[in-house]
Amino acid sequence: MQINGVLIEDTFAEAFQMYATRIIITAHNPHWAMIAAQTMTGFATSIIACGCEAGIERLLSPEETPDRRAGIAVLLFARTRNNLLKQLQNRVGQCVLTCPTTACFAGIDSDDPAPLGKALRYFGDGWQISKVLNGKRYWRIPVMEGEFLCEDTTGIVKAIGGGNFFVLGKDVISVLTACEAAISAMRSVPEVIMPFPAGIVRAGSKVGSRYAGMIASTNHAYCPTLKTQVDTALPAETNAVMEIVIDGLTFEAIAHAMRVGILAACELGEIQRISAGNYGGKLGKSLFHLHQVLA
Amino acid sequence: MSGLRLRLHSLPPQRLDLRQLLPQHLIGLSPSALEHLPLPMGQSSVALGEFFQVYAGDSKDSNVIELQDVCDKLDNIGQGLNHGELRVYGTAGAYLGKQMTGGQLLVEGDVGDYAAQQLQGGEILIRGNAGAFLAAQAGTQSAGKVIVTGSAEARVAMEMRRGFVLVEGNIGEYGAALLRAGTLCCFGKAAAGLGYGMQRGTVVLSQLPENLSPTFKAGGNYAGSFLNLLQQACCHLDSPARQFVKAQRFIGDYAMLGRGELLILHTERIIPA
Repeated sequence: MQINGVLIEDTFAEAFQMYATRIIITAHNPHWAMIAAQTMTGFATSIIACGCEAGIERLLSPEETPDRRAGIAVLLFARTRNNLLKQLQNRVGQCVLTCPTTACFAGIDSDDPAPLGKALRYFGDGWQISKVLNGKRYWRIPVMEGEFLCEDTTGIVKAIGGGNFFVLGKDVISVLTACEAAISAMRSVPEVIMPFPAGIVRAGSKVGSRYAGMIASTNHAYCPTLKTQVDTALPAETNAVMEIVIDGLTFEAIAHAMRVGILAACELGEIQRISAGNYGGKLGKSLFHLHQVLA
Repeated sequence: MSGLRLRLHSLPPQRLDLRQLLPQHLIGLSPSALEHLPLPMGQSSVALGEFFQVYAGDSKDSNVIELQDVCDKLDNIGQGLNHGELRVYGTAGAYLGKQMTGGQLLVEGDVGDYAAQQLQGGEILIRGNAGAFLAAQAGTQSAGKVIVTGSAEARVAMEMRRGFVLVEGNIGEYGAALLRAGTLCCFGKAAAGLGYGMQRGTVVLSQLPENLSPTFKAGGNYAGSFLNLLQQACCHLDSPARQFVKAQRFIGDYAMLGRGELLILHTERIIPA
């Protein structure tokens, strides 16, 4: 398969089950909502060492938020439910509660609740106030600036992490430009995040290492500087590869994001091929075949 | 649209207890069985058909019941309602919606004393005035919601533990007295004794009440985003569009626990339609 002269390899991305939650952060204005969201989702690129993967899903207009202020929807993903709860509590507690003018609300309905204000209320040291309005419980936690308003719980759902595709090209700039175009297009897709820096990862990894204790190491088959030293997956003319990783609430959302991103990357016509990362189908249950995604 | 209509055709000589007239009790009953349904009246009981005409409704939804032309001698309407919808047209008696745990109760008219007493859930909308002790002792288990488009008499939300009560008009003396928690909003005038002995909870007013007890202390201005949530909670079909911007906060009652708050919406604005 070719799109605009770009070869689409007949391979698949291998993704696995994760647990996810969504929260809504609001603030006095979009600037402060963004500050809180960026702070909370910082250092959340990969579960390999960050504890969770997190990112900004989309900006919300005041009409879309519970307190009618500008807001941002944030998605968090983790391999285990307990990890997700821990990361959620720590990140909201340290990054949102502390950020001026913010409030925090549930962003997803589920039968499986995750404590939000329910856990953070203790910061109020006994001065916190519980309020139930329209069937939802909120906590008003006194802080030096005034009050931090936080919904009691949010929801946890089963989700998918690790959807991906590789962009291969003749040099770094052409690959980076194509990836930027892909990310720009993928930002419009709901229910997904691309957790790496600006959505793009230059250091894709494989499982395991020759060193004990390393659970992941460089994906040597796709490193252009190792072409002559390893069993490479790269053609001779390829000198740069970047990966876009996608976590999503549903298989369909990830597949849609992959399609949108690949088409945008190919539209410029400056890259050589699109591939994807997998482990032979042994690690994850969700397989995204590139040709099917683009069909 | 309702599944069943009951129209009062003659006034009862004594107070009539209508706690039986709930969707959960009437579902599956034939019109004949309905007319013979015993209703407590004084120390005896009477058949429903003696005072009510039974009509099949214009909907197959048996969870919706209409009571038409009711009078103030009809007590306990909607008592224990746990699902479905009860619509009441006319002036209702005492104990309307008492111990409700779910469903919706709509009243087109005034209601007597003790409406929504011990309310545990569901929603009550009263398009009229309410008597004394509205939502008293509500929310011992869980929270319900009461909206009154007119005024309410004394002791609204007295000893309420959970729930949300909105009175568009005035409230009588000792509103929110002994309040344990929950929220009372009033957009008219509040008579003396407001918040007497309240321990926790929130009272939202559009103007400073008469003779506020000295056991309340001024707590500064408040502009938290919780006001925006309150603004949403105060929206109902008949309400004017409001914008809560800032409030003056009082804390009390320091004669008791002193953890309650009064929010005086001094910058509340009515947005023209």
